[in-house]
Amino acid sequence: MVFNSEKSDVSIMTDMLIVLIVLSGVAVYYYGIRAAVVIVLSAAVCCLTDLICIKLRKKEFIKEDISALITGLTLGLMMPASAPYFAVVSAAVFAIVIAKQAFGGYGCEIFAPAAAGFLFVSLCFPENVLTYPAVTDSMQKIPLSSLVPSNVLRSSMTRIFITTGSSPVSALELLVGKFAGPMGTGIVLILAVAAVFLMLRRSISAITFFSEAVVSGVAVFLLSGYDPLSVLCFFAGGMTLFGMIFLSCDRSTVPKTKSSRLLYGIIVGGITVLMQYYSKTENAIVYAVIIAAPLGIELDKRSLSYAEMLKTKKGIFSKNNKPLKNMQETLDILDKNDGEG
Amino acid sequence: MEKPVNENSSKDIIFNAMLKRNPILVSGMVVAPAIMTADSLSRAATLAAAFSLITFFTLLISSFVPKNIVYTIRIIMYAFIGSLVYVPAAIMLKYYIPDEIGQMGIFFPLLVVNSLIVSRSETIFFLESKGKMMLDIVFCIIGYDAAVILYGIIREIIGAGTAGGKIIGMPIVFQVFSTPAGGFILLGVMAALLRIILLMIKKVRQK
Repeated sequence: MVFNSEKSDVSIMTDMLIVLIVLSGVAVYYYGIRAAVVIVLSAAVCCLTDLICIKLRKKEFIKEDISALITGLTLGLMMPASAPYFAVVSAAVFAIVIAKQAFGGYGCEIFAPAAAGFLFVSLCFPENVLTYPAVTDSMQKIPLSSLVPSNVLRSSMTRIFITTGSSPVSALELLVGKFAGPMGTGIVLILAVAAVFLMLRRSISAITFFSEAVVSGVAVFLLSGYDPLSVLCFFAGGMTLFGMIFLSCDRSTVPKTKSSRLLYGIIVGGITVLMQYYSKTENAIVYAVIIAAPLGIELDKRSLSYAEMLKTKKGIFSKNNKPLKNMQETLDILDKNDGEG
Repeated sequence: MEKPVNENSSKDIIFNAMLKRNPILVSGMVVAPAIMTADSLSRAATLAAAFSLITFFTLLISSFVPKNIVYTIRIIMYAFIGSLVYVPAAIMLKYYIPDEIGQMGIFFPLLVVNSLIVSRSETIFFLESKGKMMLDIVFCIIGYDAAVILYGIIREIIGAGTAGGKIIGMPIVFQVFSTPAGGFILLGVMAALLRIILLMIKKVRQK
């Protein structure tokens, strides 16, 4: 079965939206009003930019298409609560104009727009986007000014973990996301529930998610000297779990066949671990998703050519014994074979 | 391979060489040196100077290569001529702008085998008279130089917040545009904008 063939895009996006709103609520609880401002700004700029691009391209605006809103919320949650407003706006505009609309709009993206937008600002303003405020217990407040004083900012938990090799916070704090980092990407408990919810609702690819989780989890467990806390730290920090759900399993960029998705997940997981452990890269999954995206397309092409080969050389026929006419039918049979295998 | 030029008027040749078939923004030639080196006005100007010298004289001499020689040998001869031209060009440029040329690194000698030489040698020399050929080459080089210098200026302003090395007080500086990744994106945006301009010109002409 081809991914999402039974589920409409609207339904998938609605599921995503529910999860992102929940995460946004927790981020606002942890970081106060400024977190809300960053998230709303990101979402608003994404939607507005998308609308402008659609008008400029003279395409029809579809009311049900909330992909820009989802990109905006995802991007907002990837930012620190202290992110300067110009950085948020820049990331949102880049994500929509360059990573989405330049490739043809919704459904035609090569890279996850949110990943591209975040990468852009992390290269432009690393001192603003890769330093974070501490999590606050009350609604105490990070100044609402665009530039937050640097004395309230610090390195992320992930940076310390990468540098020292051990977690600077307890397992409980890791589970509830109470550490310095991007505001909505480290709440492991909620993210785990969200992943299960989205997989049960068939809104994200379970194959990609699990292959990625198993490969990276086992690799980190071995590399860290069999330390389970390091594994938890890996998934909580560096946006790993968040990225696995919202970036690498993104419906518009994930490969279309099951075998391709399995390989894609393994590749993304492998690259993430390699980049975090050997090149000491913070937020490695964002880079891994960008690197692996073209590979996903290539994997799909290979699957399709394999299907074509089966069709022509081994004579896969439809029920009425006629050659398959379209790629959808071919993919269905290929996936069915995958399942049986 | 590019389509042969079949325009007759000098105006068309100039328009095509500079805009319609701009070597970098439309044909995508000699992109790597621009992305890697042209991150400021001075460095873009250096690239333009080096490119102009090497390409012009290589193409000029290459036009005398007999057309009945086998294609493979002709290509080797173009590279050989480029290498010969490179020696005096390098001596001259290193004398006048030693630091800037040094900063270009490997991309300076690599200009010897730039794709424009083969492209122009193989499409223009077979079809046009010497006069038109020279006109095409000169404006092709000017088109490349103008695009690269504009690219360098924009990159310097938005990537470093300076213009010609002087701070101009940009409110926001996007450091990424000083890197090859940002350079690639900017070049793509400029190429897209040129295509829009060309489409608008076409529409106006049709009207």
